[in-house]
Amino acid sequence: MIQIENLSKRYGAKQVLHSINLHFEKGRVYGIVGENGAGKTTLFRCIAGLEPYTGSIHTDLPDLKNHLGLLFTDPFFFARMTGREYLYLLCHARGVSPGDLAQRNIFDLPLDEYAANYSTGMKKKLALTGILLQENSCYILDEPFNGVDIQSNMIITEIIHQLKAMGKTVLISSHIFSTLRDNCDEICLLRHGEVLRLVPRNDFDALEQEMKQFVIGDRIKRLDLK
Amino acid sequence: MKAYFQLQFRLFNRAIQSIGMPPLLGYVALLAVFIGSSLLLFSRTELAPYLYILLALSLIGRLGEQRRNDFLQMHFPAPQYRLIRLAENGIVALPFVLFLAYKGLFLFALALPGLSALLATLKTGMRWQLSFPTPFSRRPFEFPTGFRGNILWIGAAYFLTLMAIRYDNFNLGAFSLAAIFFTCLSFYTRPEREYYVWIFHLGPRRFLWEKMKTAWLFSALLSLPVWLALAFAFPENIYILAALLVLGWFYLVAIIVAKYSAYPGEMNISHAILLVLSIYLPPVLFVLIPVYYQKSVRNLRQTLYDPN
Repeated sequence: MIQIENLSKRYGAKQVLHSINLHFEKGRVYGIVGENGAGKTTLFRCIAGLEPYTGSIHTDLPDLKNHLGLLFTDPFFFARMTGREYLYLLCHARGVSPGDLAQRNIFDLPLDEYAANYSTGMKKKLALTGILLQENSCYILDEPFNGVDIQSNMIITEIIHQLKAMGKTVLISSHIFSTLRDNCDEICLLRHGEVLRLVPRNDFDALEQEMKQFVIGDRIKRLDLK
Repeated sequence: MKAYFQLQFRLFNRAIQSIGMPPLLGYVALLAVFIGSSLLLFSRTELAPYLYILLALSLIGRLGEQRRNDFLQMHFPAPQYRLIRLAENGIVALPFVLFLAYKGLFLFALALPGLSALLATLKTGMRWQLSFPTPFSRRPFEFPTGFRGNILWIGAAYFLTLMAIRYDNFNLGAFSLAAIFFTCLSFYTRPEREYYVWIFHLGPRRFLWEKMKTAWLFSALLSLPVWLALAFAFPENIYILAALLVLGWFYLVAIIVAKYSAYPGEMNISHAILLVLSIYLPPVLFVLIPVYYQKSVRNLRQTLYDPN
């Protein structure tokens, strides 16, 4: 469980998050949607303890950060570090055993090649594998489907369902609405750093229509395509 | 092309400013360090010209990094791209050429521009499909990545050890052992992204202790062949060799705590000055290490969970 109360974040004069109140339960998957710059990544970084903030975040865990798997939109890898070494590092950092990597390498990644040379999708899959091996209680997945091939998309969807069944809390941000519809129990709509509303699963279609209308509006007409 | 070099000049100035130094002073300091270390190297070993060329080429080789060159090739017409590569390699080679000429080593001074022009046609850091195996893979990331990035230096240090034994030159041997430790120190000079600290389930003190243990173990592994060979060849100097080893480990602790005392920022000019001072005056380490350690613990509390 993660309880966020009056969370605000400011970078200099710019207020990025305004008094956010959210509650994330165990065994549920939450989608966070919003335009670029809406504050999704900042919110994730605050939850992870990577940013100072005002307000409070309570959990039933003694130390959330040590039970949290964080997948960044664009994971960073050191030059000349192999995929296998990356997985060892993540497991060693949390004091868990990586186990048999030949078996647990479910995305069939070339683990003995340098991770920095992987394609965008492979990097994402390696980073995801790493946080899954850490055996976390909560997961924050920032754009987990970005750049990933269709087969892996299906695997990731299945993994999320499995995590939910295991009673883990999962937060996902995605710019692809269909992936959120397939995975989430509830969607939080962020706009300009504020929670606009929380949408339960039954209202996802209405939300998609509403977002389309708001986002597209007359923009395509204005382009005057010929 | 002029705009490209003007931009490079501005970027270089910013890099100097980022360590808290005015650019002009930075250039003077750079020149002083370059001349000082060149004189030192040439006063220590007869193999200096070869090492000097190797050093120059390794710096020039960095300009040939593939992604950087792909970018230049994409945006400049082919003749301009070649000219840029030749010019920037020439600029880096110039101080080395001048110093070699000053030392009367004209053959070396002539060979270096030729080699740097040759390097201008090559791209380095190609995307190898297979990685270079290391004995450090179970404990990433500093040693596996640092070892692979500095394999030439480590090879050169081992080679110097052989030369030291062959020519019965203990000073050269001590230099090669020090070179191994300097190479290990270089693995810890840049701060890693916060994610690579955040992932640890340890408090700041345990985290630093783990980093130190890994550094001691792996630096021992890297320096052991050199140390044993020198101890066997120069048994009368075994106490000096032992002192060098212990000193090397102290410097590793110093660089680790210095790095995290500035974390998540980079070490600044004051760190550099104090660390260089400690090389000339090792007792400074007894002050430096505890001060930086306390600061590191405070800094790391922002990223790591500390139940205390």
